[in-house]
Amino acid sequence: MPPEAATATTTVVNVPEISRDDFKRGQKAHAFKIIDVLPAESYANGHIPGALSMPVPEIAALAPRLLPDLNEAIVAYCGKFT
Amino acid sequence: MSLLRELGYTNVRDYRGGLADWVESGGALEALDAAQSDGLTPVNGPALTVAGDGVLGRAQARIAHRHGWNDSVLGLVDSMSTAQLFLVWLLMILLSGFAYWFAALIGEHGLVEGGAPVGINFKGFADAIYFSFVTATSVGYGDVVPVGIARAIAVAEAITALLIFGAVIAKFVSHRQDELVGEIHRITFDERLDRVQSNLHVVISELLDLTSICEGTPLPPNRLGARLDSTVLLFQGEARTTHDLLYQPRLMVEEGVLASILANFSSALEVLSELLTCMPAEFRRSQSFQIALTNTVRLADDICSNCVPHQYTPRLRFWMDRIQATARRIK
Repeated sequence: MPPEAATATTTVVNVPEISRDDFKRGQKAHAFKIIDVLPAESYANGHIPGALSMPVPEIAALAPRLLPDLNEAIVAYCGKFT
Repeated sequence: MSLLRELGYTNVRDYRGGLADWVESGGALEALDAAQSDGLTPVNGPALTVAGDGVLGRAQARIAHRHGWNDSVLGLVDSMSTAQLFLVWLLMILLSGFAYWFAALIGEHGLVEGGAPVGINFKGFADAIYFSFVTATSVGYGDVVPVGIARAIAVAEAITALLIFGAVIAKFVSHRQDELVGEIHRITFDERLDRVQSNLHVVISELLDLTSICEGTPLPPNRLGARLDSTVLLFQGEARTTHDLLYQPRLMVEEGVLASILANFSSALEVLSELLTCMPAEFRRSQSFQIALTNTVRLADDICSNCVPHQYTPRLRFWMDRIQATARRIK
């Protein structure tokens, strides 16, 4: 395995998962900010209620403005199985 | 997802199932309808007014019967609980029972059982109460019958008992309906809150997109005007909602939700203020834009920690003050 691939895997693993049930409960209780990282068209067609749109290429530009608090609880999702 | 981590966010989680899993598990989706994104919808949105006690139906009934003699009767029935009404019903039956019994004292005006008048003793009293119940519940066995004045009392009792009992039943049913209406209001309110957040987010993205003109990328003036108009209209609607939320909080909003709304509001206002400083010289503000902008700024100017009628936590106060400070910079 080349070393780059190894680092990439480690970074992804760093982000913990949230189960469907926990997610549903938190979504209802507004326990965290929900981020839709799908393209803007997909967001316009349908997104989880309360989610903010932050397409992957624009995350770096949008995040500081939309999520001013670095310690804020955030859950990100995309289409399926990231 | 890891990108967010790299940007310094400490508390990021990944909903792996994503949109597909959400839909599969029966979660509803929210879409931006076309009319809204081009800014043609009435920007006020559904008003954030929720009857706290969920007595909408009753309030409407009261308006319909504002005048008329039955207003006081309805008001009385309204003010009593189901149990109280039921007690009134029982009391009325007992009083009528006494009335039949006393009517027998005046001679041929009491109750007759099996051809013989009911006596003025304890058995007679028990018979009177029994007859009263049979009449009030409109059963009418006919084993005890009234004569003379007792007949008039029986007719009055039957009518009154029926009306009171009807009120008891109606109250019982409407209580459940009131609860249901209250629940529906709460759900609508939650959805509206979600919508405020989505809409503010759309406003921010759109305004951020337009700030490219500040970096020297020219946009055709008419296109710039159209996008700016629709965005500010949408912003005005959400500004009003946020304002209402702070000034008429009939339903408590969780602090986290309110903080996020205020933070987004503040960001949007800051971007707007920045954008307005670098509009091209040949740009003319349309009338609708000017009205919407004035309204938005006026609403935002009302939001500060010391002018809202409630005491909020420092985090919320911070955002409120920031919103007002930004609003005062906008011309």
